[in-house]
Amino acid sequence: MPELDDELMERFQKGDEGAFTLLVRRHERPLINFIAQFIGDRDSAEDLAQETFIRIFQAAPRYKRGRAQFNTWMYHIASNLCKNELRNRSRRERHWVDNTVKDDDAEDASAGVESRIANAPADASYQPDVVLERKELRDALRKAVAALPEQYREPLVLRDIQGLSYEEISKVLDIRIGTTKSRINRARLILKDKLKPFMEKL
Amino acid sequence: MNCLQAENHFSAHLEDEIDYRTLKSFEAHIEQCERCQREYVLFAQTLTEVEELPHVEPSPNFTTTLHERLADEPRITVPFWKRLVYGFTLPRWAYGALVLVFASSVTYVVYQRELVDSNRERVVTLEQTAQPPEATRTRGTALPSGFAGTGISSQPMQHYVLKQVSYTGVPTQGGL
Repeated sequence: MPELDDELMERFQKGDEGAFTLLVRRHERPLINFIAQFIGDRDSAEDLAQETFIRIFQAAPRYKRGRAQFNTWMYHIASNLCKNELRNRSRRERHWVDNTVKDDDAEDASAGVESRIANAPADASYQPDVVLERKELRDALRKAVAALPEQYREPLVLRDIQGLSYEEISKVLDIRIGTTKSRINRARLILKDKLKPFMEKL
Repeated sequence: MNCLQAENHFSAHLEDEIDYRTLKSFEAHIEQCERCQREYVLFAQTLTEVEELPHVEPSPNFTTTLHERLADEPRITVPFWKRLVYGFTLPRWAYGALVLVFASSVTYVVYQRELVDSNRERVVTLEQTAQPPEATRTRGTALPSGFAGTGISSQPMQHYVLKQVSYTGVPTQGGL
């Protein structure tokens, strides 16, 4: 049975650095994904994820088991770093990212369309126009998520992409559960309206 | 329920987090509103698309870079007492119980000490009041003849703090 995050933190507090490495391995993928979806920039996402782990490393002696889940604590740190980053960006200039979060599947899709056509199976989803439409939809979705107001984007990413519960999200964002639910519903409604033209094509 | 109210319950309905009364009202509206039916289907499809967005993977050198950055960070050494405090983790109720036990112990000790002190005072007073009158009279100066037989001795006043004396039968001869 894998050790709980709290147990790993306790081991790290006692000087076992291997426990910290395990924590990093366990959380690096979801953390980078959250940051990338939140700020819309893959390169900065890695930097911010590393910064988050460094903050955790520094704050480890103050971490107390049971006060908060490691997961929500980590996302809370990352969320604050992301907000700072977004604030700094908008201060520097409106240097928004279009080229940033790369959809690996989508890239593969466009590169591999020809080979897929060549091997075209009976499945309709492998039809070239369907593949391209899905790519369009996915690009539009990414842009729509990135364009959501920050207060809606963050809970939406935590819920629908990271899979956190409403309770966990309300702890990360330090808001009430009711507010969390209504913000997520609002974010989904905005996305639905933006994606309507693409959805109706499919 | 109108269309706007119905939209506000899309997520709750989809995630089965809607209360019975609202559910009935929501379903009644959806049943007769074609626009909301379409919007609800689109809403559910959008949610599926968001959930299926491919995850951003870390680059292969992520961990290596992190370890290099961590190597530059000063290793935090936790003092022994802090480690003791942080290591000593109990549930909240246990801390409450500990405080309660400590407070009761202090109260008990203080109460016991006061009880002993007050008992000691009582014993001393009783010992003093229980002294034989002869002994006290011999130590005091002789009383005037008018006080003979009244029970009042010539002992200094502090020895008779608790003794009740009645002056009603004492012939004062115009004094007092």
